[in-house]
Order: sequence, then structure tokens, then C-alpha cells
Amino acid sequence: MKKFLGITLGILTAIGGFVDIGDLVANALVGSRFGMSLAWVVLLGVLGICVFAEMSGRIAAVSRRAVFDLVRERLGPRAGLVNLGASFLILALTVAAEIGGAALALELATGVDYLVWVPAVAFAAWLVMWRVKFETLERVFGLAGLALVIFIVALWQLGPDWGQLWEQATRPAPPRDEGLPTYFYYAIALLGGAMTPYEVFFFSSGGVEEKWTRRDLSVARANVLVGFPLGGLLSLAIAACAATVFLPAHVQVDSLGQMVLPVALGAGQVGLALVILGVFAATFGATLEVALSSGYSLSQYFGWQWGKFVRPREAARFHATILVVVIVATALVLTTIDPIMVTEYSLVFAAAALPLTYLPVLLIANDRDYMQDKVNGRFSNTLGTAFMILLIVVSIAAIPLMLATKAGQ
Amino acid sequence: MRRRWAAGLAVALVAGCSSPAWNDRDYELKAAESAEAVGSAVEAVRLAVGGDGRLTRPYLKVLLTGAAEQVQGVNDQFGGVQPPSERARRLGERLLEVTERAEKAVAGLLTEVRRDRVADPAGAVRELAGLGRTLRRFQEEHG
Amino acid sequence: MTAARVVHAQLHLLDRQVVRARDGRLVCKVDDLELALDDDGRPYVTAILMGPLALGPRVGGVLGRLMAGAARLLGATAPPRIPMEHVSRIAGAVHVGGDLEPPALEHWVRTHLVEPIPGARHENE
Repeated sequence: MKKFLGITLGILTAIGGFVDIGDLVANALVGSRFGMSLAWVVLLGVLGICVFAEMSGRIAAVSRRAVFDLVRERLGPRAGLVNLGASFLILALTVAAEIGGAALALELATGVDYLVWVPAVAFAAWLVMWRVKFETLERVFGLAGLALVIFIVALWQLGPDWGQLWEQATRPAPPRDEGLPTYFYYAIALLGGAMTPYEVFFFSSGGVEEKWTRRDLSVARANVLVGFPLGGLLSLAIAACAATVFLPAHVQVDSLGQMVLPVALGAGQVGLALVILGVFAATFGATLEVALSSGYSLSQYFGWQWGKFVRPREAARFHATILVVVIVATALVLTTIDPIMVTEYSLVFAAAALPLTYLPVLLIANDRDYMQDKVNGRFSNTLGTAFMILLIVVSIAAIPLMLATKAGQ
Repeated sequence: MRRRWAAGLAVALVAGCSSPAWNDRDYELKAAESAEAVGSAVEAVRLAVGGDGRLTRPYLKVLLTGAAEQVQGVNDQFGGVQPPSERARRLGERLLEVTERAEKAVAGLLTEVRRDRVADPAGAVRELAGLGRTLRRFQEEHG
Repeated sequence: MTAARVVHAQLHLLDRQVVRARDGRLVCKVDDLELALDDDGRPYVTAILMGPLALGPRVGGVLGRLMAGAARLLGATAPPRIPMEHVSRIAGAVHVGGDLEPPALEHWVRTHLVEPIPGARHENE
């Protein structure tokens, strides 16, 4: 049991990365429009995030330095500041979207307008970050997010044509009524969702919060190897549910309410209750993950004391950052901006900034000053380098594709 | 009000209806996009109403509210586009006749759910399926 | 123990995390270095400089000037320094001994914003 609880950091990180509010809807939308023909991107994304999260976890365990320490160290103060600015903006927007997402889940459960729930959700999230121990936080929300496994159960209950799903998955090309640019736009959005930089910000900082040492390297690796593939599996199950129910009916999913419909149809009222619980836990967990990441990244760039392992007064600037981000994000959701649209855009902008975050990780993982004997092996370096090349291509293509396809229409 | 604003914005982005139609073909494409958007909402409602017994009332209410706003938003947007010619005007009217029926059907279901539950699920499913088919055909002919 | 090693100021010092050796608390980044010349005219590092007045000029441009300007506006005159004799170890982080004043911003945020909120002095539960 203790061993199992040790991997909740990986589970929470992956749920916040793979099935947060933007990804929940993006996965369902992709399933409803492209069937399983983009499944290869999710698999690629799982592999990529595993490679870099493993490196950042190893760095955290051996040197106690988290990812944004490395960003400044290797990119220098100026390029580091550019990355910080871009990351921080995306993080603040994402916090807003996740708060909105958790409020939307409560709306689905109660029928009461989501705007009513926004202040309560934001306050609860802040309170958790202010008072609750890091381990408790990751256990509660990581495990509650597992309720999303109901998507896999519902898929079985729906009794899909497995052969057809398999055929879609093995034929990576757009269906006949969709264009190639749109197909690649969503490929980038899915890859950006799988490899969002805040996952490694959070994962590596979480490792430091949990006081990982060299002895915990196997724990770090287990977190990576269980958490992220699980996140990817949930992504695929959501897409498969949408492909089964919505693709034949020509429904293009565009709301959280529609996205959970296949579960309700497949697994009934209990399924509906579980999926709403899962969506709430995932988006609330993602709120914590992203808001903490904003504090982590700013503090790590400037060298401030950060973390929940000290009393709040000892990390005053860190906690102040989180408080301000939560307040600004809440104000942003209350303007009635569509939370789902916010994350879909920020996913693509995040994709454009990916190399700026992952290159320093790859460099430091090879630096004996930090890593002593635990530097990358040939396997990690080969995969890491291949992904760097892919990420550079993606970052160049992201914004032009977004403009050319009018954000995927 | 807020909802309508949000739905309107979404539709403006989704269907690209915010600009005037330059020529017949442009108008026709806008019509096809609107048919697709309304068709998507109608089909989603059909699936939900078909599984009525398996859904909770608050959930069904939220889902129908979203669909009703989406359909209404598309109608408002498309209705606001000036047809460039007489032929285009007739095309637009033909579409709006169907989408307005869809709007009424979804709004009617929403009222029923607000009060209690869908009175005649099977009948509603038949009606929505018919609307969905018509819209799909329209979209394929003109898209 | 180990042979003396050459430390590259740019590579091994600048932008590294400074950690208090006693308890591992994070102090600051090596925002800049203070240099002096020895008798032969060779430069050597005398202190670690921290804070916006040290970092601003290294960032450069409008942002850098803004950073330094804001610090001056709040009454800073020179960047706080940590003399090199306090440095005990240089690895992934720079470990320093001695007691250090909390930076002005941390102090201000702590007394005006964080401490008034209930629970600021307690361990997390």
C-alpha cells in the first residue's frame, strides 16, 4: 500500500497533464471528428513525457534542483526570462481554465450555473495550497482522479466495433471529410497536451517537496512509468468513447456536458456520477498543479525559497505568487470567458514554447556537476535528442497551423 | 444573457459567420457550416434524449441548455448575414426554416425537462433524427 | 581529498542557486559576481551579488532597466553581497555559511501579506 501511495505524484501530474479541462474536451472532440486516427500522437506524447519526466525526476532526486532552476542556469538570465514570461502567462490562463472546469463539473452535478461555483472552487483550491501537506494533496486528488477510469468501463458497456476502432488507429490519416492541416493542428494540440511543460515543473518540484534522494530513484521512475501511461490510457478511452457514440452521429463535441454523455449512455447514472466526480477531481487537481507550478517557476527563476515543505511565512514570496495568480485567474473566469477555449489556445502556445523547457533538462541530465554518476545513458540521450528535433519542428509549425486552420475548423 | 454572449462568440469563431457574404458561393458555404453546427447540436440532444432514463435531470438540463443556446446562436448569426442575391436568399430561407424548427424542438424539450422530464422520448428522438438527417443532407449538398 | 578543480565563473557560478549550508534553505541566485584584480592584474571573484540591481544589468534592455529602476525606487542603493569566504561548496548549488538577512522583498511580503493570514506560522497538515 505504501509503495502504491508513493506513486500518486506521478498519477496526479499525469491526470493534470493529460485529462485536465482542455484535454478532456480536446480528446473527445478529436475522437468525434477523427475517430482513433490520432491515437499515435497520444502514444508518442506518452513516450516523450516519460523520457523528460524521468530525467527531471532523476535531476530532482540527485541534485535537489527543479526544472526552472535548470532553465535559468542553462539558458541564461535573458532567455530564461523570456521562457518565464511565456510560461507564467500560460500558467495563469490555465489556472483560470481549470477553475472554470471544476465549476462546470459542479454545474453538471447540480444544474446550478457554473459561475456561482467559481469563487468557492478558487477559495477551496487556495486553502488546500495554503494549509494541506503536499503528500496529502497529491494522494487525495490523484486517487480521486482515478474515477475517470469509468471511461474505460463505459467503453466496454457501449460495445463498440473494436475492429473498426483498431482500423482507425492503425491508419494514421484524416477521414475523408477532414483536411490534412486540421489533422496536424489537432496532432500538435494533443502532443502539446501530453507534454505540457507544467508537468515537469510540477513533477520535479514535487520530487523536491517529497525530499527525494538518490535512494528514491526507483520511486521516481515508478511514478513516471505508471502515471503517464495511465494518463495516456484515459485519453485514449475518452477518444474511443467519443468515436463510438459521436462519430457516426456527426456530433462535434464542444462542451464538457457533451463529453461525458457517452459514459452516461454506457454506464448509466452511477457512471454519470463517477465521471462527474472524476472530472471534478481532475480539474481541481490540475488547478493545484498549475497554480503551484506558477509559484515554483517564478521562485526558481529568482532563487526564492519555495515549497510546501517549509512554513508559509518562510516562503512568503512563493505563497504570495500563488495567491495573486489564483485571484487574477478567478477574475478572468468571472468575465464569462469560455474556459475550454482558453485551454485549447494555451495548449498550442505551450507547444510553441516546448523546446525552451526541455532543452535545459536534456543538457543538465548530462552534466556531472549536477548528476555525478547518474547522468543520462545512451538510451535516454537518443530518445531525448530525437524528441528535441520533433519538438523544434512542432514549435515552428504550431502557430502558423493555428492561423491557417482558424484553430482547427 | 451571458450565455448568449458566450455562445455567440463561439459561433462567430466556429462558423466564421461574423463577416458578410461576398458572393453566392460564400453564402452557401456559410449556410453549410451553420447546418453542420445545428446538426451537431441536434444529434447530441437526440442521443441524450434517447438515453433519457440513464441521465440525471440536472445533467440533462445543462446539456439541453447548452444545445438550445448553440442552435439559437447559429440562427441569430446566420439570420444576420445579408444574402448577396435572390437565389441565395431562397437558400437561406430554406435552411432557416429547418434550423428554426430545430431551435423550437430543443427549446420545447428544455421546458419539459425543467418542469419534469421529457414527455415522449421516442417521439422526440424521431423528430430530432429527422431534423438531423435533413441538416446533414443540406450540408452535403452545399458544403 | 580531491585535487583542486578549476571553477569557471560563467559556467559554475553564475545563475546557480545559493543555499544556506546549515539547513538547506534557499537564499537567492548568483545574480552577478563582484570582481577585483590581484597584484598581477588578474581578476578574481570577491563576492556573490544578488537582487534586481545585480540581475537587471545582466538581463539588459528595457526589462533589465525596469528591474533595476524598480529596486532603486524602493530605496535599494547597492545589491546585497555574500563574500566568497562564506562559500563552503560549489556543486549543483552554491552552499554558503553564516547568517543572512532575508531580502527586502521577502521581508516586506512576509510582514504585510503572508503573516496576517491565519496559519502562516504553522506547518502544513
